Amino acid sequence: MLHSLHSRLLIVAGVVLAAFLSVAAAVLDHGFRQTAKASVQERLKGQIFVLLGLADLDRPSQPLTAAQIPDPALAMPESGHYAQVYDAKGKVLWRSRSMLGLTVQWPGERAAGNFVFEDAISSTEERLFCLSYLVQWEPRDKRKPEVYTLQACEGRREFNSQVHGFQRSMWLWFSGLAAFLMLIQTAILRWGIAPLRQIASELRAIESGQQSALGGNYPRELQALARNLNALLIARDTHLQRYRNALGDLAHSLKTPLAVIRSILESDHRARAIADALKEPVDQLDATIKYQLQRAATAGRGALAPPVEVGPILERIIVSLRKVYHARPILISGTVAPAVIFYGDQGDLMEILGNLADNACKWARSRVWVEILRDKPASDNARPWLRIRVHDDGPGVPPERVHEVMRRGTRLDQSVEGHGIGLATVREIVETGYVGELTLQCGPQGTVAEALLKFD
Amino acid sequence: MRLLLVEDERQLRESLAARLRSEGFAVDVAANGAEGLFSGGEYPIDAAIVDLGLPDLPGAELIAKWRAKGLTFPILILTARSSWEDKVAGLEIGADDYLVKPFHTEELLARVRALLRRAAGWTEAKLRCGAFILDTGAKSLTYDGNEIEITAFEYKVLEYLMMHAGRVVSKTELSEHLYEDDNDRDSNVLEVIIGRLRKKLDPSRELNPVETARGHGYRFRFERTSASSE
Repeated sequence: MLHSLHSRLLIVAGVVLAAFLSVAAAVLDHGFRQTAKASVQERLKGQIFVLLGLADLDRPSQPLTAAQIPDPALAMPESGHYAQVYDAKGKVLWRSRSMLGLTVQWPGERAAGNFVFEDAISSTEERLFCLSYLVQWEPRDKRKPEVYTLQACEGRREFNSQVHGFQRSMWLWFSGLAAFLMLIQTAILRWGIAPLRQIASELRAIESGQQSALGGNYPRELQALARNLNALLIARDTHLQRYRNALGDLAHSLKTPLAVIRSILESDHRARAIADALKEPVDQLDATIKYQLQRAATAGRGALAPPVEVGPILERIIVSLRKVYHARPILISGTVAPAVIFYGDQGDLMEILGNLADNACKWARSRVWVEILRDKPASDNARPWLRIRVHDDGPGVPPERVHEVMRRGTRLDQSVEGHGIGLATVREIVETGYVGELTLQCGPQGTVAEALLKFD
Repeated sequence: MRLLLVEDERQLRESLAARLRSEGFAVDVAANGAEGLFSGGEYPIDAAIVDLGLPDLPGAELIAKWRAKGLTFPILILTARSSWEDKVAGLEIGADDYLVKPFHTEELLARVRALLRRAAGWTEAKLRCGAFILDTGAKSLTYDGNEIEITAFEYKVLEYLMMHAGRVVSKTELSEHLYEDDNDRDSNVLEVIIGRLRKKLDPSRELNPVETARGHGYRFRFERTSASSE
């Protein structure tokens, strides 16, 4: 999944969105809690002011009476709204009826004239917000001023209910928003990377041989890439062609003088001794030129190489060989498994098939047959391998000499022209161009040359 | 048999032509594609040897032009390019065989002879007509297993007649396929050679292997036989 650019961007966008919404939710939740607490504080402050206005602190034994309390919640037990008055030592002088059966701890000595808002827990384990206010009261009888603490408390049930309600509502909205933003994000990503998808699709089309270059109208940022890729594709083909033409010209200029030398030496009977002496060096020179030029011409697996249909190539080789070996009673045939594709250079495939089949024809008694099969690659995503088997019913090569015959220029039977170089050429192409292997199995029934080609 | 050799490299052309002539072939030579195109269309060629790397008219185009004109003589291509793409392309365009430079002259001769035999419908190097066997490799003639000695020119005449056994071959055709130069052609010489051949092939004058079709030419009377029917 992470191999998809779209998925990567979507995952990153999702993570960033989730992080943003979480932080936003935390900030909003904190803000709402603060506001709700401030609201509770204001309410409790109002209550304290009311109590302060009603309280007769000149009569500390009973500063307030039930009848004086205007808020009915303070008269109802366990209503969640409580108030009480302490003296300087924390002794409760008055408490509201709602505090029947419960107590709240004295907040302690504080500086006079300050409101202290804090969390508290009642004796019944009810969590409360409490606001305390310490007043310094000068009695009418001019006695020394007395210190009283007025405390108003409110249970957290209502606060919690508000917070939970807010959170529910907030997460509902945020979830909707997140889903909406993800949809928008997906649409933007799809639209944004559509040109990349198009490039990928066109590259697949090039790989499958359906088109030869990128043709789409790409955005400015990708135009240079598309242009350069097209130039690369054209350069690859023309370069390979030019390179092979140059090698062909080189072959012509090297081999024609060799042909002249050989022809003159072989035509002039007076030069027999010189001809015999020069035969081996000329043969070696010829073999080296052939081998090295063919080696240099090997293209191998290429990036974006269009697939080559194997069937028609094999057919062309077989028809050509039937023409060349017309005089010999050899039956040349071939079979190609369905959907066999060669992902490489057509010239390489022709060299492999041509050399193996030609070699088999040179040795066969009556029959040569070629089998081309698909083979399972090492990994599931890789292109299928290709297995080429060329059978002949000839005398075969002794097992101990198989390795020798695969070496460059080795010719077991000098009477059969060209044997040796062909196998070495095929081996070179198969091993260096397609990371494969060439094997030769000989038995009483004949020889099987097998080339395994990989396109990983 | 008359061959056309199209090769731009002078030394190779001269050396090959000399060797082919020494092997009993009549050889026309062309140093470029244009000359080759003319000679191929003008003379009764039995087979052509064409270098693919000609400077003016590439060998492949020359072959294509010959085939387009309806010329069906067998063609052996000589190429320095040993790639199978080139070989297959050459064979597809109308050539019958290929040889990669530098080649052994013996192999060239063997391929040319094989092409000539193939063109005349023979598959073996030995031409068997009745009890007569002409070995084109060893250039020897036997009758009922007994060797008959013939000269090089007698061999050339007999080879052409046996190659086309059963068919009347005119003197003109025979001389055109045996001589390169018009000036060399002399029907009297041919008559003398035929006469000598008749004496050597049929000393008792019972078989009459080379019969005269009056006003038309000569015919090797014995039909082809296969090796198994000997």
